[in-house]
Amino acid sequence: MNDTAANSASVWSIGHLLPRLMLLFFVLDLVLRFVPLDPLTFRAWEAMLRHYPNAVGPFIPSKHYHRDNSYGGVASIGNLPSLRQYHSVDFTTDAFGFHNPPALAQPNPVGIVIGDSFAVGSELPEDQSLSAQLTERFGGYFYNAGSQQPLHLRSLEAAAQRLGLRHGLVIFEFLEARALQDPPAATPDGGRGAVQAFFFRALGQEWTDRLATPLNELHSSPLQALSAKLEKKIQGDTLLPNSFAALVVQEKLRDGKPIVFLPAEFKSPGDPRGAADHWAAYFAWYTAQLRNDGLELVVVLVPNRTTIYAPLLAQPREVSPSRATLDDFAQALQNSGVRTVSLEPRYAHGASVLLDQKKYLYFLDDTHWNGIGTAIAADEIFNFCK
Amino acid sequence: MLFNSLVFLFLFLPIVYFGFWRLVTKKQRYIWLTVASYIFYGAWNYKFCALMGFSTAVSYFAGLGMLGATDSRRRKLFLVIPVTIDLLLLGFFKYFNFTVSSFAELSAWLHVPVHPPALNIILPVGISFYTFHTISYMVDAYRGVITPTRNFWEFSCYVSLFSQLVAGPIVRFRQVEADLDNLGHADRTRWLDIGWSFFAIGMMKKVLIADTIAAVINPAWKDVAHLSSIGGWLCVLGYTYQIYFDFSGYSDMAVGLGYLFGIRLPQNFNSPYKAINISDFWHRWHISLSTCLRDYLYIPLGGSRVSSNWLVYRNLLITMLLGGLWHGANWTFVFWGGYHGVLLCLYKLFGRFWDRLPAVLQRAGTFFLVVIGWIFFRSDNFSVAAAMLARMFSFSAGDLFPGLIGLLIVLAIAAAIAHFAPNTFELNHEWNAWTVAGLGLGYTAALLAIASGQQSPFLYFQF
Repeated sequence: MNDTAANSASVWSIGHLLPRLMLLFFVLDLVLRFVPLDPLTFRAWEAMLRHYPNAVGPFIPSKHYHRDNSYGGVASIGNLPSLRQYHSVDFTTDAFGFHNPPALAQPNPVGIVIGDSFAVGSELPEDQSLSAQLTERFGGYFYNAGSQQPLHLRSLEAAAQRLGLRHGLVIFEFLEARALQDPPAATPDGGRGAVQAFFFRALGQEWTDRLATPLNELHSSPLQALSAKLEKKIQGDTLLPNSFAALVVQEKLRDGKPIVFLPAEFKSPGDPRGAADHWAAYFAWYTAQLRNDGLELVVVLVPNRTTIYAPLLAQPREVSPSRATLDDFAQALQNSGVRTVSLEPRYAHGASVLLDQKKYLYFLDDTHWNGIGTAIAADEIFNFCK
Repeated sequence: MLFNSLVFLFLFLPIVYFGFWRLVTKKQRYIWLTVASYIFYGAWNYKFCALMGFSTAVSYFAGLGMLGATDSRRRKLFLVIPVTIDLLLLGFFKYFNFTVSSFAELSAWLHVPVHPPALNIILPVGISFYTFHTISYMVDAYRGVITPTRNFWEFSCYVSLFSQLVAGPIVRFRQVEADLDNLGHADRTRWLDIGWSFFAIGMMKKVLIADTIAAVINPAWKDVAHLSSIGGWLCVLGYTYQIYFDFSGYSDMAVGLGYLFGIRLPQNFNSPYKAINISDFWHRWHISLSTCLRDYLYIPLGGSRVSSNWLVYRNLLITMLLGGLWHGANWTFVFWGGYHGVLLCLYKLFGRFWDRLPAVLQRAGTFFLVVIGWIFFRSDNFSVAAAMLARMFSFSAGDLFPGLIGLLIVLAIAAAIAHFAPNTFELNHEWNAWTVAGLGLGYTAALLAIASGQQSPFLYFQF
């Protein structure tokens, strides 16, 4: 090996080229972050989600997303193109950053829907989200305030105030999987987001608005997304094995249709009664607080896909812990005076009947409910409130 | 922090590099490298920085003590006490639970079950490496091979240098002493090309070859019982090349980083799969460890200068068994060490016959023996190892695994490089435009693979 100094001045020297290559890579990544992410995404969530507080809601405000060939997140995680169920998707946000298409919006809402991505209406046509279905049944507008996590009480109160909602319903979509978590703290902005929230509060609204847009753009790397896509292409089980497949659980329904789950969907709380009591106390407090504001809380318990479809698999799986969890929940909430609608009985029955017609309540390549699922949910809520 | 991570490549390395060359005096550079190395280490778990700092301080003051000690008894104390402290720390963090569980298993086997408590101990990354740094420093100081440094920052820079902190090579103070002394006058451009060349080659070895092989064989290793014989052989061959390209890739990157900061690190791999016998293999594989074991264990035990052949075999076996145990707290590692110890003994006994074989057969035979050893090294327990051996030698049909085409392509490339190409230290690193372009392309491919977010840690981090 030659230990002497090499000629570093040459453009073709490795010591000259590689650092510049890295610099180019870095600059390219930086520049691409200002290019819209939409063409690289397969669904609305990643393209629309904001990461810095320039809006009340979770999404980039006043933006429309359209894609003809969207497909489910679980099929994407597992890198399973053959299981994708392609569908068209539109996603429009209002000025607050919530998923509310202006075409469906009405003045003087009669209620707010809060909850997670189920409430948001992920993967659904805009007129089939829970809030749209409720609007149709109640004949009054339900505002969609769905977010990654159900809105904290203080944020909900602020949203209701902005909307001018003084009396009405708050529909709290509560997915069974959430029982695995503890209820949120009584005050918002705790935990990891505290520093960021403090920083932006100190900055003031004007500078927050100015900074948040470029920061949101900087947050996601198209180069990283492209690299991941390329990696998934290479790992197609021909050239290289699909290591992503281990991240999901592939099953077949009784009717022969493939369905793909996340392993997390099979998880149940270790202590269902304890979890139910925790959440019941939280919802009792939430209900009392909202009553002071003139609002009425209705908690809608949404079963996991596994709870409904595990018994309908070609090789059924044991789901008793999940059923116990939902029963415990419904019971504990009702005992605490919380108005509760459990979708589990209707879903369990409906899924079995619809399966023979090759119809489903949830997407088979995604964790979320579909239009049939939200229609049944809206019916149940409407009948309960009526 | 991993070398093959975006935060290292695009944040840590540029800041440390440009900061380092902005500084003027060697003291400033020692301090800068020490602080950077602790940040590098603390990114994994900041709590263990204190442990490394403690080990560094103990060894530094032991060195100072030896400088001032006049009688041999005091010098010995300055060796024995800190080495004992270092070994106790290593023993506690790495081997406590292993010892306890082994004791429990033994007692159960003897039908007097005992249930000693197991502690929830996190193994500090790189503890095996930096403990060897400090011990080799103290032993060399005691033997008079080196003069202990009075400069604390120089010593802490040596112990914690981020390029070789977590997976070696195990650098002895005397190997870098001259470069550390010269750090204030180091020339940034002197080793710039060779540094980047080493770093890029190491990165490609790790990301493009080792990780690709791992992507195919790791799922198969989880379900050994269903493999066909061919599948079993491919898995074991895959691991044979994976561990070489992973570990030698890391070593190349470490050496390259050392060059970028004006510090030459020693060679750790010298084409080990070209070895013509098992003794030759250990002169080529993880050279920094095998020379440490030789100098600080085998020779003090008497080495080969003992009264009978049996004592030589005993010394070899003890050295290799402890060498195996150094790799990890698992009996499979001890077995692997013992296996190589027995092979070395057999070579001592029958080497004259082996050496008469044609060179091709010697190489093939040595490679075969090494491959069999890797089965125990890779397996979590003896059941897996036995199942793999059964699959390999049962000549049975069974499942092949997805990604076979990719594996065969990468194995062909890996084998060609490992068996026939010059190693990174044998290259002259004076590239022409075409080879630079090729390296640039390979490096870009590695960067893209890293950017996809699937960074995998180096295999030797666990040791």
